[in-house]
Amino acid sequence: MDLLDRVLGQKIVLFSEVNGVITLNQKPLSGARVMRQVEWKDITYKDETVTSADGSFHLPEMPGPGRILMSEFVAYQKIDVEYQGKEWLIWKMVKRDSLPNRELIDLNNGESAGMPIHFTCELSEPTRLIKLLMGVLRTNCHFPVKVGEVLK
Amino acid sequence: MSAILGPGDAVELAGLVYAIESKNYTEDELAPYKRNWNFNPDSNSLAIKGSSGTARLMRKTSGFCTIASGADNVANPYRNHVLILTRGTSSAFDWASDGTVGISRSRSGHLVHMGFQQVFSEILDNGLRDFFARAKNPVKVHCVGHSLGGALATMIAEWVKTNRKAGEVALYTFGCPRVGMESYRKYAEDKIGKENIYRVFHQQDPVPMVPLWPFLHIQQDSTLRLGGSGGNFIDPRKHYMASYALLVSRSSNWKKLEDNSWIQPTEKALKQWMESDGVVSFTVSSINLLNASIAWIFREVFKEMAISIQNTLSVGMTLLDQIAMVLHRAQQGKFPVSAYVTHLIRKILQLLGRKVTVLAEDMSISFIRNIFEALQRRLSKEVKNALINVSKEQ
Repeated sequence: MDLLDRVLGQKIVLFSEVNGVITLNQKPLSGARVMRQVEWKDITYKDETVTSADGSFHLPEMPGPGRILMSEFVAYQKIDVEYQGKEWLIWKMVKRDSLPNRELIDLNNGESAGMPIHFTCELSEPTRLIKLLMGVLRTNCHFPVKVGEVLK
Repeated sequence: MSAILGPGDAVELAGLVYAIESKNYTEDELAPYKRNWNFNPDSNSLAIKGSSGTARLMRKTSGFCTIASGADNVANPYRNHVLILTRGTSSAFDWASDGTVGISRSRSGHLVHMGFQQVFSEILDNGLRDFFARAKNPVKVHCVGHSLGGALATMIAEWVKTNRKAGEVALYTFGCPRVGMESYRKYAEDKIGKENIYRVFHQQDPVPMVPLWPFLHIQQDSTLRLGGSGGNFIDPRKHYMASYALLVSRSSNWKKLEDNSWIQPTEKALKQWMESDGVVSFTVSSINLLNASIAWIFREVFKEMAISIQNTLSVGMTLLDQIAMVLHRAQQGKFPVSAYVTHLIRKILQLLGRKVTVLAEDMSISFIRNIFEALQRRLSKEVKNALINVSKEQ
């Protein structure tokens, strides 16, 4: 990375803080592995956690190295859940803004500081595509408020 | 007239091209556009050789381009249309603000930025020409690009019309730098048709401010100007696609995006500004005035010296050398504009915060060259300073 980018430029958040609840067949799923992955500039960043007794989990903000200056931010995000040898994809999108909480951006909330990621996911539910301001989120999770438009 | 892309679609597609150049990209990203556009390389013989494995992608070191064809169903307004999305892979600001870059001739024979021309040629040779050799007379070609991608989209749109590859062409750019000189501007506007050019820019975005001279925008007087009521300072954040998407997506048609409040300064206003003394700060409006003054002076110089820019500026020399040479010749002559060359140089010295003590007759070619180089450096520094302030805010 250019020296200037490291000193100046915009802070990089590869994946914002996530607070979620995982259910399977409408029951909170305890002890499931939640694996988060981001690919940015050909480098893969990973972290993971395990759901508690009530199915909840927390993943902190995942910062990226350095800062970004005058170039487009393109980070490929994914969250998979693994339980008893089975895997489910619950989140897949391209984050296009390096600032925190800029994942769930649509026309209604775009100018705000950004909506924190808070969701409940039922693993037996198929994923759907949600059109956001810049790109598409594939998920089976539900948010406290309406986000984007579901693509038919 | 056949269908055009709306502002929302155009800005999304300009952003989409950044997300599909990666091994991680999946078809999900294309889902919103599938109904109208066919990105599938296996159909309609649209396959283009690329190094990435997926056949429709063209990849080279500094430019990238994706092509889609209008889906073949009667309800699709883009049936038999072609969509070309372009992007650059490096910072357009660094490219366009580099005064040591040369100029070269476009394929249509006009003077353009050498760097942009090279990337365009790579794209052409890497599949674009072959694509059009196989394409079956598309009704319309839509060229969409942001930043350096906007410069490439401009060159592609002009090439398509020059070589009669399609009946119509439409050009949509966001935060596009200046591509070429006066004759190129005129030629490209004539070929593409001014009514088919949608040049969206944010007034605080530094990329459309470069290269400074004697480059001009295609659709210089575009009314698709964002941030009209905002600040007067350079803000590099306004260059991001995320910023353009937010401001443009809301508009259901191009008319709604128009801002007619900005009036180009008159010749009289420019003269007054150049003649005036005092402190000048590096704001968006002074950069605009400076650009307009330089453009006016160059026009006058070429008119009075009865030579064309094409004959004077030659391929191979750096821009700064040529600017210095032309201005020096004009200043030492006895033309009505000669005095304004001196005024302009003094104005630049004021902008740079330097003392104005040099007499007109003492201004050598290298002196003029150094001043313009310092101006270029100052503009880059201002962009960097703006970024420091941005990071402090966070």
